[in-house]
Amino acid sequence: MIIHIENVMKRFGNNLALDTFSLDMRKGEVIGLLGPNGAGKTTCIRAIIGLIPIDDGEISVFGIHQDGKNKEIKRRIGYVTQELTIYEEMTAKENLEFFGSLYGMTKEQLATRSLEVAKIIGLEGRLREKTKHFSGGMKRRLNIGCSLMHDPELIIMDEPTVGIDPQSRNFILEFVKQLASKGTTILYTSHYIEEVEAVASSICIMDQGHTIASGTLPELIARIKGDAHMLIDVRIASEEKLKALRAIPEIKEVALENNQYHIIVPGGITIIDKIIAVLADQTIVNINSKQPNLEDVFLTLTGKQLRDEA
Amino acid sequence: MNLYLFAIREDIRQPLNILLILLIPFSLLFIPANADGFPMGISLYGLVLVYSTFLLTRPVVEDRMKGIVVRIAASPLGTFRYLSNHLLAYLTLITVQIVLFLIGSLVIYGDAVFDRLLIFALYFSFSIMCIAFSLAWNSLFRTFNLSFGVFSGVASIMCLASGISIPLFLLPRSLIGYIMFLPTYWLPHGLLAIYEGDSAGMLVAHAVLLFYAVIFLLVGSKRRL
Repeated sequence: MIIHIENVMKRFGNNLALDTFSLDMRKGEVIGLLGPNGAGKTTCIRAIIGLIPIDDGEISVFGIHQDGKNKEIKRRIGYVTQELTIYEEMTAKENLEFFGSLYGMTKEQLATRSLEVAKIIGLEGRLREKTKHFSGGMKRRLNIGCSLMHDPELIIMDEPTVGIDPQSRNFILEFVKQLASKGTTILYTSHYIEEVEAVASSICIMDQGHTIASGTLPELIARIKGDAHMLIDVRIASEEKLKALRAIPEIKEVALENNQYHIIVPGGITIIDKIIAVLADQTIVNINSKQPNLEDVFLTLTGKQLRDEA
Repeated sequence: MNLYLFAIREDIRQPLNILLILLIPFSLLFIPANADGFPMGISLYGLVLVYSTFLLTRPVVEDRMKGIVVRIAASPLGTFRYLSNHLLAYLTLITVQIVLFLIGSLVIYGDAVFDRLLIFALYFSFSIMCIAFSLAWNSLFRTFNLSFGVFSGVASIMCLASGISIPLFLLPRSLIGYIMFLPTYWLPHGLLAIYEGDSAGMLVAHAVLLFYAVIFLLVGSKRRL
């Protein structure tokens, strides 16, 4: 087990930031930590790294009890901060070497590794440039690169794509996938559900300091027992057909609005033939089905829209 | 890269720091001599020390603002070594400034070297207190500009009231009981003790300055990440 968190409590004054929070992370896993602002994601990350003490519970990292003083744990973690924590007056190479030196790397190791990391983050041609001249996306990539210098076993990424263009975001996501494919263990937090869907092998949804749900994406979707939603547009709808549809026993609910039938079928769309038979003499313009996604899971479990919180 | 050397390099990259360290102190040496004490420039140099140390500690504030300190705290190096290396680097730079200033004062005033050694020791203790004060002061603010803006006013008043900007003997005696609580008071007090050959007064000045330094260091290094 790389990370074991059990019933952790952390208070800041009257605010309970972590409330019996638990999480387990195995080697090679990529866990996406999802939660609205104030859910406790950053507190959780800082407690794992040992930056803040916890009030109760147990945290062990690499099988070692986390008391905040253990340098061995810190040596094996790469922390990608949410803020751009790089020196703008220094070149990309100087930044990489400086942050690498904090982990006790020798001059030779720093020189070799900075070239390797620059290649990974796509900045190999810009190493000698001052970072103040970089675009937001390049700075983000360098911010990640600085955490990779010591080749950590566990990478903790706290919203690594905040405030960048879609192209740079895609670059970072691809690069996270590459790291994951090489067996690096990654804890990834984000406001963007599609990012977590794209990179995480397992997802942990947290709110108000505790875990709401965790598991793989199909497991989480199964948890909300996804009612299938069918949207059928016809030229001219009628009340008579609405009653006929409601008479089909497998249909949970039918609503009619603006010549569109919204049909809810529990457990997936298996009765499309029956529905089409009822509506056969009406001109069907369009049929759409909507399967629940992670956004729906999040909304159902927390009652909040994640993106609105960002 | 060695963190101590890194901190020095970070500071001397700022043109304003070079100006402060090398040029401004020397202008004080041309202030006419004082009949009842050391030349006024020797005392006024305390004002330069207050501002110099404040500006030199700017990188620590900016690292806090940018969250770089969090990244450093997450590394095996830790915040204690980060802070101690930075503060030591600032003390080194300020020591260079003190030495250059005192060499300049010897050239211009041609006084006894023995006095200059005592003055150097007093400036050194005062600088430690000033660096610690800057650290504590900056921990109260979120931006350096706001911090510096408020500091400028407070530091000027402190230096004026405590006998750095104007000679101590010009201040009303009734005020001394109050201004001795200002940490800046103990520089002119120590200078007067050196001038009068009062060893006990010198020691008290050093002790109080270092006491304040410890208090300020504790306050300044306790700020949450």
